[in-house]
Parts: sequence; C-alpha cells; structure tokens
Amino acid sequence: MLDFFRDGFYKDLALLLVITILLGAAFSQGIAWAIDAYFGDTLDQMLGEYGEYDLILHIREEAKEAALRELQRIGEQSFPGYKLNETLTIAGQANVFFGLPPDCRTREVLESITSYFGAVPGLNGYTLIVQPSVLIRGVHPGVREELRALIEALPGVRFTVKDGNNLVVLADGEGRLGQVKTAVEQILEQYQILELRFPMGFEVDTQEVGSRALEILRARNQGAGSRYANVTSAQYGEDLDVFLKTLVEMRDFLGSYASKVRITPSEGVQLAVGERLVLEGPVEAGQDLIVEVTGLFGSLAEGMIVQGSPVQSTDRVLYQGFRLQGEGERGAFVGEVEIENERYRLAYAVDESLRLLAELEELAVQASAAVDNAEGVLTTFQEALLQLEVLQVQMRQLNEGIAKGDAKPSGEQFLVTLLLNGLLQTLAQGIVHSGEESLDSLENLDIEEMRRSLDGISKQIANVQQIDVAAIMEQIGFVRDTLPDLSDAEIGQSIRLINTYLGGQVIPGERVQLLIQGEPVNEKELEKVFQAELENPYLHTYSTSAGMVSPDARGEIFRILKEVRSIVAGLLAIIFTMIALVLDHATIFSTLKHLRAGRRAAARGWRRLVDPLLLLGGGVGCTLLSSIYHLARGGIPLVNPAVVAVLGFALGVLLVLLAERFSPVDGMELMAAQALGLSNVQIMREVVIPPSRPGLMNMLNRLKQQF
Amino acid sequence: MLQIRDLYKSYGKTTALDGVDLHVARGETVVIMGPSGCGKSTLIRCVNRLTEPDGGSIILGGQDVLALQGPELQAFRRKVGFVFQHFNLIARLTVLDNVMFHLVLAGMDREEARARALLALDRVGLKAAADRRPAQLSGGQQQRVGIARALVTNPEIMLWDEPTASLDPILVGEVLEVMEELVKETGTTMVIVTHEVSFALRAAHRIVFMDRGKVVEEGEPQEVFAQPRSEIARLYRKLLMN
Repeated sequence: MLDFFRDGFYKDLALLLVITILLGAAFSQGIAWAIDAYFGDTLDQMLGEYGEYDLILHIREEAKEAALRELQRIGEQSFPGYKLNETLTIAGQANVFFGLPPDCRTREVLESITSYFGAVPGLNGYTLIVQPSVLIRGVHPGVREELRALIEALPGVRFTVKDGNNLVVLADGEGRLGQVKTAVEQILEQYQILELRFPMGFEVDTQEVGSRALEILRARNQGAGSRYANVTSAQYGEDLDVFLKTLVEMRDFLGSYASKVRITPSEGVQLAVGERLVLEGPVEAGQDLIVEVTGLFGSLAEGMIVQGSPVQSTDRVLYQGFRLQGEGERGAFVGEVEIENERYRLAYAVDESLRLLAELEELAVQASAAVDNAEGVLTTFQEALLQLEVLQVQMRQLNEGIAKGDAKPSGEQFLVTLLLNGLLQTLAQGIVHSGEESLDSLENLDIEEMRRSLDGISKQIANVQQIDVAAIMEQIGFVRDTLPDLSDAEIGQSIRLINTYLGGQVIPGERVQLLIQGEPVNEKELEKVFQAELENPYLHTYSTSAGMVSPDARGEIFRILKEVRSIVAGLLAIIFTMIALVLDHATIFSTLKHLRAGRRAAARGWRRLVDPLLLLGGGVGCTLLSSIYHLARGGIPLVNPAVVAVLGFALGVLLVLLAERFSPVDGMELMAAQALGLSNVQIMREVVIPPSRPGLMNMLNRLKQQF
Repeated sequence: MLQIRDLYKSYGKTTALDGVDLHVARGETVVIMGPSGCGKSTLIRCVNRLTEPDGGSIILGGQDVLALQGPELQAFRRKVGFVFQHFNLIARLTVLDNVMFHLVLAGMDREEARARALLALDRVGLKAAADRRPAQLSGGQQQRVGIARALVTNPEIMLWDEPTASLDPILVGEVLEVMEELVKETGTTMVIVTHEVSFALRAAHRIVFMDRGKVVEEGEPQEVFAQPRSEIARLYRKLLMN
C-alpha cells in the first residue's frame, strides 16, 4: 500500500498535512480569539478593565443624577485621581463603578467605605471588586481575626479587608493570585466549625454546654494536637432563625384566631389526619363548609376550616359532618362537628367593651349629680331635725304644763301636737312610736357618717370621671380595626402554607458553635456522643467551614471566557479536522481502496482491525486532530491529549470505512490512467484530485496540475 | 511477442483463469472468444497488470511482465495500447487532451504530443471533435477516441477488451471499421476480446476459444469455424451461420 506514495505523492500528502494543521490551528484559534476578544471588550465596557475599579455602588435609579454629583464631589475631595463609570441599571438600581487611586487602596479606606459614601443619595449598598483579590465568604466572626493574622502573614498578600461576613484578601499582583488562593484554602482547611443545635423550646446555657462539649472533644481526641474553642455567636446566621421563629409564632396566632373545630366521630367511624369533611348546617352564603382533620385525640378529632365560612355566633354551632369525595361530593356521614367562632367572639367582646365604656361614662355623670342631690337632702334633713328638737322641747313643756294643770292646751295646741307626732313617725321611716320616741330615733341617725359615705362615693365617681374613657375607646376601636380581616378558609390555607415551608426547614433553637483547628472531626459520629453526654437525644450536629474561598465574579467571568475560548478552539479543531478528512483525505483513501480491490481480496473479520489502510487512516486522523487541537490551544473539559488522539484515530478509521461515500472515485478513469502508464502521483494530480471535492488538497493540486 | 504460460487468477472461490497458455506472434491479430465470465477480460487485463494474476508467467517482447514494478511497469504500460469496453475516457478533459495528456505526462513536448494526438484523431475520423468533451460525443465516437488514445503511443501491442460490447448495434459498425483498418494498415500485434464473429473471421489471424478459465480451442478462423472441436466453437459457428 505504501508503494502508492513512493513515486512522489508522499510529498504532496506531507505538504497537505502540514498546511492543513497550520490552517486548522489558525482557523480554530482565530475564531476562538475573535469570540474571546468580542466578549472581553463587551465585558470591559460593562465592568471595566481588570483592576480598574474597586467598588460597585448600588444606587436607586431615581437618585442616580444626584448620586453621581455627590460621588464626584467625594472623589475630588477625598480621592483625587478617582475613576467613575456608570454602568448597567437593573431593576431600578443603577450600578456605578468607582475606582480608587492606587495610594488609597488601603485597608483603612476599604473598611471605611460607608463612612465615605454613606451620604450618597439613594445608596442601597456596595460591592467590593478590588483586584487582585481572593474572596472568602461566610467567615465565622469567632475566627475572623485569627484568620486575618494568618493570611496577612502569607507571602504575596498585601492585606485583608473585612466586608460584612466576608474577608477580601488583596494579593501583591495578579500573578500571585493562584498561589495566595491555594495558601488561603490550605489555612481554611485547618479550621472546622462544629455546631450543636438544640430543638426549639430548649433553653441552653451556651457557655456551660459549650464548655462541656469542649471537654468531650478534648477527651475523645487526646493526642490529636487539635485546638478547640467555644465561638458561639448570636449573630451568626441569626436572620433565618428569627424569621422561622416568627413564622412559628404567626402560625400559632392564626391557629388560635381561627374557628375551633371539634369532631365527634360516630360509632365505628375512623378518621385520618388530612381527611376532609363537608359540613351541613348553618353557613354563610357561598361555598360549602369544608374542614380538614388536623389531629386525633382518642375518640375525638380536631380540624381546621379550609373552605367556606360558618355562621357567625358566639355560641357553639353544631354541624353534621360527611366525608368529602372527589370534587366536592358528599360522602358518608361521619359524625357531629362543633364549631366555635373565636374570631367572632373576640369581635363581639370588643364591641361590647366599647358599649360598656360609653355607658360607664354616662353613668359617672349621673351618679355625680345624684350624690350632689343626696348631700343637699341630707343638709335639709339635718336642719329639720334641729327644728324638730326645738318643737319637741316646746311640746314637752306644753305637756308638762297640761299635766300640772298650769296650762290648758288650746285646741290649736293639741292639733299641732298631733301633726308633729305624725310627721316624726314618717321621718322615723315608718317606725310607729309616740312623738318623743320617734324624735329620739331620728336623733340617733349618724348624719355625719352618712355625709362621709357620700363624700367617699363622690370621690370614687370623680376618679371614674377622670379616667380617659375616650382614649380607651379609641384604642379598643383601633384594636378592633386592626384585627386581621381573614376568613377561616384563608387562615386554614395560610397555616397549611406555613407548615409546608416549615416542613422543609430546620426549626432553629439554641445553638453552640465550636471551633476545631487541626484534625477534622466527624460530626455524625460526634452527634451520638453529644446526645448521650449532654443528655439530649434531640440535639443535632452540623459541620461547616470557617470560611469558603469564592472566586470573585469578574475573575470568574474572565476565567469562564478563557475556558469558552479553549472549548471553542477545541470544538473548531475537531470540526476542521472532520472537514479536512472528508474533503481531502477521503479522496485519497477512496483511491487506495479502489486500487487495492483490483489486487487482492478484501480482508474479513478481525483482520479488518489490522488493516493497514485503517491504521493509516487512524494515524492521519490522530496526527491532524492532535496537532490542530494542540496548536489551537483547545481545551474541552474531560478531553485530555490521549482522548484527543483516540478521537482523531477514530475519525480517521471512520473516514476510511466511509471514504467512497464521502468522495467516490471514478474507477474507469483510474483504470485508464493506470493502463496509460501514469505514475501514482500523476494519477492523483491529473485524474483523481481535479474532480474531487473542493478542499485544500484540490486547491493545492491546481499548482501542479498540467491538464 | 507475447507468451502466457500457466496463468491463474481467482476472485475468492471463483476461478477466472485456470492455467491459461497463449502465444501471440509479432504482428499477429488474435481474437479471443468465449461466453461471459470465461476469463477473457481478466486474461488481457493481466497482460498489462491491471489485474494481478495469482500465478503463471507473462513474457512480452522478452520482458517478464509480472516482475515489473514502479517506473518500469509504467514504462511497459505505455508500450501497450488498451481499449476498454466502456471507453474509460477522462470526463473533464477534451477529446484532444484525452488523447495527448499521457504523452505529456510521460515527458513528451506538449506541441509534439498535440500533433501526434491530432494525427491519431484524424486516423479515427474525429479530428473535428478535438475540442469537445466526451459527454458531447456518441458512444461510437467515444470508443474511437479511446482507440486514438491507445494508438497515439504507437504501442507494440494493442489489447482490446470487448470494444463494441457497450455500443448500440448501429454504432458497432463504425468501430469495427476502424479496427479492421488498423489491423490491415498498422501491422501492430493485437489481442482482441470480442463476440463479433464476422469481424473475427475477416480480421483475425487466429481465434482462441476460452471456457471456464481455460483455452479450449484455437486456430485459424476458417479452420476453427469449418471443423470446430469444442462446444464453444460450435456455438460461435452456429452464430456465424445464422
């Protein structure tokens, strides 16, 4: 087979291979470079050159103009030589790049951004993009200063900047970034935060539990040379905890605010949690009243209204419960359902309170007037008693005179005496006595005590009147107005939603955070130990890193661009190789196969695997693809040089197998050329290649072709 | 001139040539006849190594043909004219280029090659069609171009592989006419594979009958047709009589 190439065609083939490789590499790398350059330029316009800006200020769109003026003022005043560039506005938020002059890129300045820019109108926050840097996210506050000291001692590190929970490590130069990143990761690997979480409701003394936990750790890992410390931080990850706790409280509030549903199943009826019942009884107009079983307690069950509204009543209302089947269809009777509308009761009570207060205010006024009247009556009564005493003396004297005979009462005197006795009897509250006895009983009345009582009542009424009933009524009215205007169905759905969310969350309770430096520990193994030693089977342990190195967004984008360039170059190299094989080399292999067919029988079976033509095709494919891929700096993930070589070989073999389909050769012309005594190279140049597919070989051949 | 001895060729399990012996004298015209698949075409393709025989020997003009390789083989092939059944012209070249291109590629001056090609075309009556493409010609004309292409090198021997088999019966005559003229005028040694019995009777010095890869009978035309010894010869004789 190699004889075919000996008479000169090998030179053509070698030239073709070299030019194909060079052209393929140039093509693949050129296209990839163009893509890289285009996206790079676009990014530069959006994000600036690498290291050109140090922070992005996020500003509300409406305050952008004022903010830019203020930023210019700050720049001129505090950072002469600053750079300012307004870039994308996204979702009503303008993003402004601010570049500090090199001498201002210090830790002091970068940690005081808020003090410099805090007064910028519309400022929503900022993002540090100072370069070259390594960003460590989520640095635990308990270990931050220790980490800073260690990282700042690393070669190639200028300083570190605290940015919220993050730590930004500034490198000496872009070239040292990789080295710094590796060193930082090695430091972080030495630290582990072990968190002990207790369920909600457990009150834990974090210091005491932390100390005990440390003792357990030290006892277990003696000789490991590790360092342990209690670094429990209340602020660490607190936001979510607070939110979850609030959700739990809200769910409980909604639960107590909803109507209470008690189900008494009939004999033999089994209910299940989550089952729905449709109720028959007094309901508000609208949808059917449907409740969902939320709990089973012996023979009773509790539920929650998920559709419709019960009739508003302060009393318990009785319903007939039926199973809900399919789309609102009523199934078998399951029992009686009792609904207490707590929400209505509360509203009713508030309304009654307001009415009571209004009545109380009126009552106080009337009571005050009544006391005043009573005091006047008492004074008049007291004066009347005095006059009666005088009359009594006069009557006694008259009676004594009559008795002695010194005096003889006239008819008028007798009549007055009778009248006075009757009056005194009346004043003595119906006590029928003789005239003297009645007057005595009146004298025995404690008028002063009565007056003191009236004074006391008067003071109490005055105190009541001093109460700001109007304010109380206003606030109770406010409370009434602010009570959630929710139906039972809405409450039920809200509770279900909250439960769904909480179902996917760990409800936080107290937590203890331990720092482990040195030999890492297995938190799942330790969980059992802590559960036993701390006598709390509900305790859980979690392990986190003290911080995580995160590639900065810009660096990541540029890295991805480089990767994309390599991937594009790699893919183009493969495509170019395939095109070259089909357009050029298929013709050669098609000719070789045709010539061979006239000489000997084709190999069959396993012998085809060692067919020299297949090996030659594989070799050509391997050479082409490997060379083009390498020269074009292709880099497809998971595709190493060996894979590229194998892929090239496979493409070459495939080409040989399908050569006649890709580029058929006219066998008659070929035979005629042989019969006319043409050499192989002449056959290729004059007969085979000219009518072949228009590839590089065809183009190069025109330089040598005579006919 | 040509001595073929004990020539073998098989395609897989099919035997095409089964110990063929053939001797052709210089200036002799030998017609090979036989049924399809009897090995006639394989035999003459082996002569210029278009097909590689499995065994035997071929001596042409004192040269061991089967020992030739590379440039020697190519030089040998230039001394052997070959006319194909399907003409085998280069479709993209003009008639003139088809006839002269191998002369130029063999090192001949282009003008001289052109002159010789035109002469050859004139000989087959196609000088006027020199600038046409093969596709613009009839089958008979294309075959005459093929003959001119074989003639142009003044070959020592011409091998004809059923030159009229692909032609319409109407066009066969013009080709046979040219062939007869060549036989009579050039005196070139010719080995012609054909089924044209009357042509063989008129033009051949000797007829060789083949069957199943073997030479079954040979002799002068009048002799073999007058007293055929083989079944194949008798069949051809019947054909002639009809």
